[in-house]
Amino acid sequence: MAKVIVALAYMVAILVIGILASRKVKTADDFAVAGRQIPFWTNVYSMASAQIGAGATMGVASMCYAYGISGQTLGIGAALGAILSGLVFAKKIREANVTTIPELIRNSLGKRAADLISILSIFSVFSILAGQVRSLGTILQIFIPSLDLFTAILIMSVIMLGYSVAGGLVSATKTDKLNIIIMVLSVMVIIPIISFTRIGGLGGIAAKVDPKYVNPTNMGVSQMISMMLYFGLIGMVNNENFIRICGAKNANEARGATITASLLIYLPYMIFAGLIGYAGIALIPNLESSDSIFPAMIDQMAGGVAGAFLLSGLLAAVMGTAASVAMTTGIMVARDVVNRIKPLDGNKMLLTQRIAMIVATVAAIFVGYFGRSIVGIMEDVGAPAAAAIIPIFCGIFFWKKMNEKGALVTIAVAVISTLGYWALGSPLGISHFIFGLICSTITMIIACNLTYEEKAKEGVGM
Amino acid sequence: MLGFWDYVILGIGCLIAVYLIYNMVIEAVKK
Repeated sequence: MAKVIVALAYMVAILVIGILASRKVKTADDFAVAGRQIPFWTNVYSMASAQIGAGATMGVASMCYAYGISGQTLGIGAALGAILSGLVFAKKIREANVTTIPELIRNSLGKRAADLISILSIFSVFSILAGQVRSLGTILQIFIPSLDLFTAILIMSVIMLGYSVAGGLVSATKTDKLNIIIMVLSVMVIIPIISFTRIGGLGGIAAKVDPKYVNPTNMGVSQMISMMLYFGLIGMVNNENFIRICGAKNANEARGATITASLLIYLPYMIFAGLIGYAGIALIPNLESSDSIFPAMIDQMAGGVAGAFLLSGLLAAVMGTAASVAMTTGIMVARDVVNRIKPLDGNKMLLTQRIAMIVATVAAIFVGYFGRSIVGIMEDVGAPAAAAIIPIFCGIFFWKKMNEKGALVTIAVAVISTLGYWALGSPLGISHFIFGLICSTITMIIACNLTYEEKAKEGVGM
Repeated sequence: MLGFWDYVILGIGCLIAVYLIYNMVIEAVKK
């Protein structure tokens, strides 16, 4: 009963905060980038809340439960990517004064490359949305076990849409404050204190578990490198953070907020989530699925209202990211697809962004429901998009020879090589994403060098 | 029995939480 009351209280709080904030949304830009007026600390909380979702909390704990200390690779890789993104890209992105990645590419390279990138980007954020929507359902099931997964997904998606469709990024930044405080208290304070006290800290865990779990390379060096590169690089071109960077008051605040969110919240949060999974090896050995170690730990540590509060941290983590990804998908579909086919004015754009968000979420409910494990969904579907976007993104900001023809060839090679290598069963021992990224980067360097000379002759140099 | 590094780890978690809540309160009061 306590779990149901806490879950309901959280849902009501998030709806009230979100809907109250939504009254400030008057234009399409208010919805998409909060009028480019997000205060510094509000943006810090919001960026962290968007970064930390099901993949971060349950994924890192699951990895550390399955592989021991070496499972921290996922979290550390993702956080390092976010820090690098702040250091290298954030300022330049905000100075470009755009809203989405395809818009940046359209302004820098041209329409054809932007159209292809927008299809890949939407595919990528949609795959994350499907994973997050599924997580929303699985977490609600922990609160109310009598619910079937589909109904649970449906209830949570309606609540998530309830406030975010009305208020867009304005509502998201306000609700993210509540989310991040619940998450930090739950994952970085209460659960670690209880679990460490119960098992005798790191020394107690090491004494009780198989020595292989203490081995920092237990997962295997190649898999660790592959995982770190994947989540790190994905973190560098994160679409949800992109709109928050665009929503900052100025370029310096954009960079500062990204680095602060990553260093002060994201990185430590990931490490703590991993520690919870690591402690789980000693506290709850032989769990059927490593994916459920995080909720299982909470269940064992605290009952009643306290246990329900700890679980609501998980709910908050997934809700923040799910809302953010749903919003990003809607904004990209409206601005980079519908607007390209039929140009939209202010009010129509606002309406289209909202409708696109609802349609994307409904589609994600079905994909998420029939999908597999949480991290699996993210890694398999997002790989071709990331392999294409990452080198092009770097080229736009740091390479004068970057041009549209080179970008088009790069995109084609990224998609074909990633999917082809994956279809062959990843024969070289590295992941399909890393293989695709290597192919697309080499292609970009060769193709842009060749096509840049051609452009220079025409007098259209970058 | 918790060791020195356990207290360091748990202390970092608590410090970050306190700092974030403090910042949120300050921001709300300023408004």
